[in-house]
Amino acid sequence: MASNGVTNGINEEAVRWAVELAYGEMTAEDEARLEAWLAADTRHRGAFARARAWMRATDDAVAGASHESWAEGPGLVSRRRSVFARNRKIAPGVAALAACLVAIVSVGGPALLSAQRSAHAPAREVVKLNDGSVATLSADANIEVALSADHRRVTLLAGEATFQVAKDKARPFVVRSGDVYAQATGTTYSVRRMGPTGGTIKVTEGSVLVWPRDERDQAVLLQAGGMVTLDPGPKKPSDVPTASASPQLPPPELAQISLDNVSIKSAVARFNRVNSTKIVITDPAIEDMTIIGLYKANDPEQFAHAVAAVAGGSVEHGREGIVINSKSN
Amino acid sequence: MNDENDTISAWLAREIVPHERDVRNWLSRRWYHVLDIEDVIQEAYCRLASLASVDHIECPRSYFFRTVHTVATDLMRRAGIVNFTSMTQIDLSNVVDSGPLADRALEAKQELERVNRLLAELSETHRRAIELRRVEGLSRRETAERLQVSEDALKKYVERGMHRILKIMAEQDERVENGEPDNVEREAEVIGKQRRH
Repeated sequence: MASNGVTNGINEEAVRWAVELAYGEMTAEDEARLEAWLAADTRHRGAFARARAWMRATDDAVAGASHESWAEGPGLVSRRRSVFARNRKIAPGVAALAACLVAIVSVGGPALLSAQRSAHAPAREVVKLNDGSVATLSADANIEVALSADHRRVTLLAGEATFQVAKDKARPFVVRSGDVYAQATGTTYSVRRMGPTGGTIKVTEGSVLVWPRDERDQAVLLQAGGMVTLDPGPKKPSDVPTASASPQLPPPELAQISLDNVSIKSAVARFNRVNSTKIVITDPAIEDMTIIGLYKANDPEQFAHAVAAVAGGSVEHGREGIVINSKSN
Repeated sequence: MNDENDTISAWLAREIVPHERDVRNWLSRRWYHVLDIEDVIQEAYCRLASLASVDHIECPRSYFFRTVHTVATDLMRRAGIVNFTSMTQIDLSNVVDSGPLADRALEAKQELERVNRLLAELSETHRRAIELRRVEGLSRRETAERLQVSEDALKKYVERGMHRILKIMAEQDERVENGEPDNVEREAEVIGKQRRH
């Protein structure tokens, strides 16, 4: 007859071992006994995996809940690696479960929610990429890097990674986590894998464009200090054929230009590099001003009007292209 | 090896654990006369924990249901019971839908809330222990000192806490077995309908 879901004795033993492993001091003898117990029965292994998973879920939930009250604290989280690191790594990011909770609510589309900055995961491995960028990987992180003449693509397979991106405007730097993409040209940001399709992106410096799947035109611009968790969830059936036909990254061309407090001079240079219609600024005082925003890369007109609005100038169309004059001229 | 284990174990905690209650209810409703639910659950966790990678799993909930279904099928076959597959297949397809995103997301949220509700059952000592270990990064000894208990007692607190959480889940099972099948039936129907959108 069935156990009525109460017990077959194995669960108790499994919990005892899981707790021993996390909170006890395992001698070599204990380890041998655990090994023997696990080897004896697949149900032992299953019960043990389950007990550990439940402990971890409990830990995550508690840590996630207490993270709320820690988030604004100055000393944040000092995470020393304990003697148990071998068996039980401290999961990166206390906010994991909390972030999951907010990110999962989505009605009719991907959820986009920004949250407060959160603790940094313990850095484990620093990887220098060939383009000069530096990736700092959490203990459980796993990345794939593909650098070519016109793009830089990093796929985060698991865990969390922080990127200090070398400036190279000709080759957009795009990190993919599940079905979430984050692109920057010169900045520091971290990406953490959330479930099979999602990712959490935190920006330390500069700004980053974040979008799900092929919705690059709907990208959000994330500024320094910002954090966003995006989980598009499983693909809808109608998406599947196209998605499986082209599982790779969206085309690397820059559909939008994101400007985070950069000088108008350098912003104009960026537009002029990709457009045949050039923007000319006649007043150096305007060039020194700074501008913020997300602009269509192929629409210098729109950008020029934004500049004129910011600088209090006017837009003219001359032989050289779009000319921005200051009002006094 | 530990790195991989850790990824899988994090995945189990995040993606599988929240669905365990539903899986149990489903199992109880279908098979508690013939199968030991604990056996099935343990066997299923064993299979999930030995996955080399979980990156290919788009919907962990369905994957969990399917794994459990396979385990149950295997166990039944081993026990010499035949002619059940077609029935359970239909039943399974009602439960493990991969239907509209919004509904599924809401479901997942409710499951996480369920896990969070279990937290109310934690003793203060256990909760503080987790905070000290996980959030402040204290060692086991430092944690015990801060809580003013011995290291052995700390272990006992945590052990008791985990037993309690797991027991509450088992009790939720029993409630279904003892005559609330209507509720579950309705749930399955609703999910089945959503699928057809």
